[in-house]
Amino acid sequence: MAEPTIKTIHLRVNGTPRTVQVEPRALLSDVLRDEVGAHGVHVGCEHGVCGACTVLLDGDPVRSCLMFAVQAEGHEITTVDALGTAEQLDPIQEAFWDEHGFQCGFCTPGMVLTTKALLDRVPDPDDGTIRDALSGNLCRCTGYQDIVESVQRAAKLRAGAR
Amino acid sequence: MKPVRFEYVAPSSLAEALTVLDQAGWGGKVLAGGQSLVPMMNFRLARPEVVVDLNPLGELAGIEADADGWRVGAMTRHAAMETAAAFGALPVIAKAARLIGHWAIRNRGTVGGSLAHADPAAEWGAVLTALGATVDVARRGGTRTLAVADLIVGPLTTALEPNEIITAIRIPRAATAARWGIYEVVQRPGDFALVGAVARVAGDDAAWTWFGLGGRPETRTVPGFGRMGEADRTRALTEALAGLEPQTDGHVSGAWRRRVAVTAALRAYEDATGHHAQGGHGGHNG
Repeated sequence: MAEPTIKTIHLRVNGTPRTVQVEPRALLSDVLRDEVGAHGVHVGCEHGVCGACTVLLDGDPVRSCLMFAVQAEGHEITTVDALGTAEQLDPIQEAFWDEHGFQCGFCTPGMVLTTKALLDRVPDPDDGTIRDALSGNLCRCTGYQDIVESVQRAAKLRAGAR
Repeated sequence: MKPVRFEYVAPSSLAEALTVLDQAGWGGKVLAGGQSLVPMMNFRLARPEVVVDLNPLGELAGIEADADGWRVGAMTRHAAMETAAAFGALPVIAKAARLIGHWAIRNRGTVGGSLAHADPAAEWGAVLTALGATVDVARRGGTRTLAVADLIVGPLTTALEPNEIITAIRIPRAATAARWGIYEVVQRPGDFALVGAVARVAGDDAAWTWFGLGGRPETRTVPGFGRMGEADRTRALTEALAGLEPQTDGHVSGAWRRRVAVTAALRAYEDATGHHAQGGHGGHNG
């Protein structure tokens, strides 16, 4: 069998340039986890339904399992790993903590990033807008209500409330 | 699952894309938004040998409007269709775009890709058929134009040759002479439509293009619909659907589709004539 073609690609992940060598068939989700070490990218369904693999591509939420890593060259990728630190949570993370917006945490990176993208565009979304924006992120643990309240709290924290 | 190994080409021009595709024959596949193709590749249901990525070709995206109508570049994302000011005179476009999948899907999925994939439940195939839209198609050495109604020939089947790429969709300005509505029935918002309808209303006459029946979008006309009472409307729609064969699948039966297609048509008609604020989707609670 012939040797696979390896491409050298230049990614920008969380503001940092990364050069990686990948086969064309390598999914962005897998390359972010395995080559870049962004383990906040979770791999769930691999067919674009669950949203656990959500990353921001130039600020827009996308399914990283539905992109090949080679396609990400020239784009700005944001993973949840960029948000906050253990010592200083991002306001969205703090809100999810406050409002019990996660249990097992598998869907949480996708929820948090989609929330960030939403609040970057709509700083004070109503219940319906939140549910619509997050409709592509599935959660098997929480029943969603606490997630919606987390997003509402995140909006308040980002607006400077305490 | 992971995709089978393939050769990836990021062309620097449409001409290069067409040349590569021409040489690849049946082993070649266009990558547009990837929201339908990549899941199939991930599950190895699709195993192209050569993938030609159109995303680097920025000139294939964009919406232009003039007196004749709209020209939508094939790589225009669903999200762009949702918000484009250019479609102010045709609000059914934004309504249809909002019904497609979820936000992340709409950020990558494209109009041209949706048409080329021809999923029976897809909104664009039905909306663009109803609007009388055409597609510009290019291959190495030539171009052609065909009506969207002629492009989609069956489930997941188009009239495209393996070496052809949809480059643009053209929507005629004449479409604004009618009123338009859309309604689809889903179990959850963002799901594939179990059945849906696009309504075209001109005076008392109405026509519907149904989708989600399991094959290609199907258009039927009912003259004088606007003058009919409720019972006659239901009967007329049931008769209009009589010649069609909605499919049974893992979700619902063909008989269910046939019955609910009437409801979808009635609600699409209401959407067109202003009884609802926006195109809707409904399931258990809708």
